[in-house]
Amino acid sequence: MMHYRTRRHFSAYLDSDLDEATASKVLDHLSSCISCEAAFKKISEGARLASQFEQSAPPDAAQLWAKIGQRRELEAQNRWGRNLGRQVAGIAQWAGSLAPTIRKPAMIGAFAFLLIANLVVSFKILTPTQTHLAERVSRYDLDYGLYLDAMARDGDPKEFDNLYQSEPVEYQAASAAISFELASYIRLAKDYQIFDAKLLKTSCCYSVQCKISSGAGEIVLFQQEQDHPFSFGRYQLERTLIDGHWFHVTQAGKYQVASWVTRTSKIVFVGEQLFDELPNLIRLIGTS
Amino acid sequence: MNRFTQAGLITACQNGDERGFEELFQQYHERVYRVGLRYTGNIQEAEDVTQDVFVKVFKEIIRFKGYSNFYTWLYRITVNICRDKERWQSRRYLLDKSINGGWRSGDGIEKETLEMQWQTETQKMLQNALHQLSPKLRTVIILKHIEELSLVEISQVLDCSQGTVSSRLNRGRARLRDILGKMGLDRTYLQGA
Repeated sequence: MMHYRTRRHFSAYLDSDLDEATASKVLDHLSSCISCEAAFKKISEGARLASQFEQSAPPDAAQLWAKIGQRRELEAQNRWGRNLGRQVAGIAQWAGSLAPTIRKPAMIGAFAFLLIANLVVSFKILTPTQTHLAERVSRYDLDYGLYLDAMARDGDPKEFDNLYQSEPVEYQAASAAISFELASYIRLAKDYQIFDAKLLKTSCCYSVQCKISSGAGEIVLFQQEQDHPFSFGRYQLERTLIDGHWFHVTQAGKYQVASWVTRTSKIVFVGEQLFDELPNLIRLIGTS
Repeated sequence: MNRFTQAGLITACQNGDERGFEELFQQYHERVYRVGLRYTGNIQEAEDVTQDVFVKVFKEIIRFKGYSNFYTWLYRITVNICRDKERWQSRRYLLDKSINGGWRSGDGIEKETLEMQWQTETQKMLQNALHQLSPKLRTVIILKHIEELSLVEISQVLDCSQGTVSSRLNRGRARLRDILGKMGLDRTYLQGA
């Protein structure tokens, strides 16, 4: 038996997952090949060490189940509100199977029901309770900007402002960044400076500055005049080709900002000497 | 006490029976959590993984046709979610490390791994070594040595051939041996071998 074929079977041999004939071939080869024997010894020692893994303590099942319930409830609500197209298609398909005489009134009735049901559900979604907010905060810990943006667009402004004021500064920063119309949502992780962003269309909150803070310090992303809370385009992004990739870049005060669209997200970089580092960052992301 | 047979449980869930969902969760949450915990090395992440997995399972179970065992399907979802999570984490970590410098302590993933409340020093070392394996090797080691699945079952979970699983298992075990050897753990457990 060839070396590589034998070696491929080592783990199966160790775990007694081989048929008798193959196991016998492996054994024969091992007795006559020093290098394979050494490789087998290493793998079997690795297996013996791996068998020392102990079972971990089980999680708090009740708490996990409760959280899953909340997540499912939230997703079900959102799905209801968002799947209007699918609902309409479903009704049309259903109506097609009815007799022609009742098709029209049935369709009108179904669409009326659909409209009312969606309005009710949407109203429920857009009028969040504190519990609802808390759940979203917990859910979107790393997507807090998304949450804030959704609240800014859909929620009660007063409730939103109260929540906003009571949040840690890094979360305020996320919404402040939104207020500068930098992004429609910002994936800002707590204690992290880096975030993903998309272009913003709407905004209801404002701030005179945007601070992204971490335990070790803070950064002022954009300065903004109090009397121009929504001066869109103050820092106009320029499109530029760096190392074969299109970036949108701008100088914002002493900070350089660059945004880059990857396959999965739009990433915003911020740094004082950022532009020189961009080719390195591209390579870094490429390898991660 | 189980109120459902295995097939009945799946059918109940597919019919939207809430008791079925709960039963399913009770039966399988520890397995999912275990994989999540070993894969991420972090209790919070493992709980997040468990939540994500079951939310997905409840949503997608209608598509489960029963061509494979339910638990292999469940493990597949778990592994995929773990990988997605790690991909996002590692990207965030690398960016953070490269750009922010001192903004964060810079020991991100490794530090979080060591924060695990493993009972003994040996378990901490094993977990640390496991975390140093590539995602593919780590997955097979977890499924083999912690979940105790057979090669056939692992190949079903990962949707690859048994040969590939066996090969990854070889590399994973050998690499684990190297890493633990550097840590000195081999002397404790391989004496007299």
